[in-house]
Amino acid sequence: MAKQINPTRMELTRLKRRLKTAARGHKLLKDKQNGMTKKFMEQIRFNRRLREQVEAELSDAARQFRSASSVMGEKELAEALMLPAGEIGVVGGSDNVMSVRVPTLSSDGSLAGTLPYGFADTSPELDAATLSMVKLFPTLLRLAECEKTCDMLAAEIEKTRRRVNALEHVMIPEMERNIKFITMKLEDNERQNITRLMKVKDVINAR
Amino acid sequence: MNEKKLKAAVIGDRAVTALYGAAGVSVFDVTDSGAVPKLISKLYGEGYGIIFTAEKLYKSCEGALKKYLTDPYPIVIPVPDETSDGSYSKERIAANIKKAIGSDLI
Repeated sequence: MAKQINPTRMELTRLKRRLKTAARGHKLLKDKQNGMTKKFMEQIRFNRRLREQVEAELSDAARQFRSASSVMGEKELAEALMLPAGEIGVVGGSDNVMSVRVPTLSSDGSLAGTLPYGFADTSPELDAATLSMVKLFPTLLRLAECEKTCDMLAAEIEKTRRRVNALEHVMIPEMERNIKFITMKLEDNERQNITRLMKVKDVINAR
Repeated sequence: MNEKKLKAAVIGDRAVTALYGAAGVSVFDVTDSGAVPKLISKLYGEGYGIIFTAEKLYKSCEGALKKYLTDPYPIVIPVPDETSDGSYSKERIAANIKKAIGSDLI
């Protein structure tokens, strides 16, 4: 607060330097926030479309799976899927969005079109369900990447907004108030000094 | 940009996981939501970067999963199960928009 600071020229210089840094930081953070918001809006629209698509396709695959289960029987189905064809390959990296590290994913397609069972005791519905899941996997990866990016950007935007608001509404106004207080105090001291000198001069002249 | 091989896993009950298992995703049959955060942490340690979690389980331990928000990996996302009606994913998207912008504009 203005009452607790030292009204000296040194303090005034320090405060002015801090105000300049804070104003520059505020501008940078505001630019970062705007950049992130722009990217976030693109991603969230894409996320919404992708979610709807994935949920519809998953529901189709689940329906085919249920139908396979009713044709083959629970036990036979469990037996057919007991051993997976292998682990699906995913390559993960990261990208930089306004200094936020977000994930990037891609499938290496190692299991595309592979069925984990023989055709002797299985139904065509199971083949269709399995193949549609394999086909859907790259889209699932895109959804995972997009949702994580949205989650991370939303958290970072919220954090940046708080910092921007703190600078804009608390720190910068407080520093400006303090600078004004010190300037007024120094001017007041200057006037007191001049008055004192004039008084001394008058006393000397009166002798 | 460092690229690395990751593994994918799915957590949920048999009805949800069987489909993913057929596609080559490692399956972890879990019905107790209390065990999920520990399992995710263990799986991440074993190289699983993408963890699909049944919506019901994800909802019940959402708070514990917030710690993964600051790093790109692991990616933990909810996938629909037999209880889903599509509203939870919409709620999540709306919550993210509200968090980032202040109100749900879209």
